Amino acid sequence: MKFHLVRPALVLASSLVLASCGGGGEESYQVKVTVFGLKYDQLTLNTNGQDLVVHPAAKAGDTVVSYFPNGLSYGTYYNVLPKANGQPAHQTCVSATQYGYPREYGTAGQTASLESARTPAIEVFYTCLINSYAVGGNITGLNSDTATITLINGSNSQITVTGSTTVTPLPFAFGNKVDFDTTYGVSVLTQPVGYNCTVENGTGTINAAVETAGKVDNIAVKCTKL
Amino acid sequence: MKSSILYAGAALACALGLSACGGGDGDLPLSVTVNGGVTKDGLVLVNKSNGDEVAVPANSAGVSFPKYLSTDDEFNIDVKTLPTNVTGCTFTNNKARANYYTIYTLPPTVTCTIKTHDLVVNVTGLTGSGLVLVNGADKQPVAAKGGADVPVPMAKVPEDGPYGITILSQPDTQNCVVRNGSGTMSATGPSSAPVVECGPKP
Repeated sequence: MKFHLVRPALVLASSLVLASCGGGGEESYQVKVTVFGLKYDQLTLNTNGQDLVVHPAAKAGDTVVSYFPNGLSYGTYYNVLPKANGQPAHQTCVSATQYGYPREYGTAGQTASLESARTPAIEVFYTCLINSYAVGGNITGLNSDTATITLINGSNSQITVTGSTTVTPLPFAFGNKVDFDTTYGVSVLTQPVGYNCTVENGTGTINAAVETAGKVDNIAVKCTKL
Repeated sequence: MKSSILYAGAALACALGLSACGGGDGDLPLSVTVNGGVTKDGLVLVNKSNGDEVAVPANSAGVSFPKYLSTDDEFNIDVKTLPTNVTGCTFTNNKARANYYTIYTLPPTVTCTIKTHDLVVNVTGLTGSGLVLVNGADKQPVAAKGGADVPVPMAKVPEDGPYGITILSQPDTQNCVVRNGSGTMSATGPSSAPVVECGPKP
C-alpha cells in the first residue's frame, strides 16, 4: 500500500533531480536479483542476452543478492527468467511477488529503486522451494465397501481409505507431498473392522531414484480377513 | 497511512451528517480469520469493547461475531477460553476502530499453537550399528549401548495428532521390529509407548 504513494514520490524526486542536472549522460539500470531459499547448485537466470548464475549462500538456504553483469539503458524491456535447464538441483525457483506485484519483467526506469531514488536499479525477486513428491501405493485384500483403513505418514500426513469389492488393488496417496532428502514412514493408525493389514516398502527417503520416477507408488498395504 | 486516510474520510462523512455513523446497530460484520491451530472445539473469542462473544468450531477457517459494528466503533478481540490442546493464540489486527479497511481489507486473524508432547521410543537388545528410526519426516539414528535399553527421543508430536514409528534402516548385524509403533498423542503422552525390539537376524 505504502509503496503506491512512495513510488510516485521517488519518481517525481528523481525527475526533479534529473531536470536540475539538465539531463546529462545516459543512465544505466543495474538488474539486482534477490533469491530466497536457494539450497542447491545452481540457478541460472537470463535477461537481455545475459546470464546470471546464482549459487547458494555459505549457509545453504540463506538469501542471496547478486547483479547481472551489465546494466540496462532507460526504457529497455527486461524479463528475468530461468534458462532452460537453469533450475537448481532438487528445487524449483519462481518469481516472487514482492510489494504486491510481479517484478521479474518491466522496462528499465519504470520504477524507482526502493533503496534510493539516486541509485536506479531494477529489482527482481525469486523464491526457491524444495521439490516434493507424492507418496502412495496400493491396498490389496480389503474386499469390503464399508471397511475403512487409516494410514499415516508418521505425524506428517493421514489418509482414510474405504475398501472396495470392485477395485483391486486400491490405489492411495497422501495429501501432503514429501520434500527431497526427507524421510517417510507409513504405518496403519486404525485397522479396518474385521481385517488385519500390514505395510510393506513403507519407509524410505525421497532420493534421486524417486526424483526420476516422479513419485513413490510402491507402498504395499496387504489386508487379510480375520 | 491508509487507515488514517479512511479514518479522516469517515470522520468527514460523519461531519457531513450521515446518520449511519451514530452508534447503535451498524452494518459492518466483525469477522476473524483463523490461520490454524484450531483442531478442537473450545475456543471462544470475545470483543472486549462490547462484550460480544463467538465460539470457534474445530477446523474453522473463520468466524463472525453476532453483533455488527458501526463505523468508528472500537473493537478489541481477545481469547475468552482456549481449546484444551492449545497453549495460546496470537492475533493480528485485533484492536482497531471499525471501518472498511479494518473490517474488510485487513481483517483480524487468530493463530493458535497446539501443545506438543514427547515421543520416546525404547529400543531393546540393540548391539549392532546403523539403526535409524523415523516418524514420517523425523529421522533419528540410534547408537547401541552394548545391548542395554536405549531411550530414543523423537521430535515432539502435537496433541491429538498421530505418530507412526517405522524403521528406515536395520542395524548391520541384527533385525529389529516395532511394537505399538503407531497411535495418537494424548495430553498424557502416546496412547501406548512405542518399543523397538532388536535380536538376531532370522
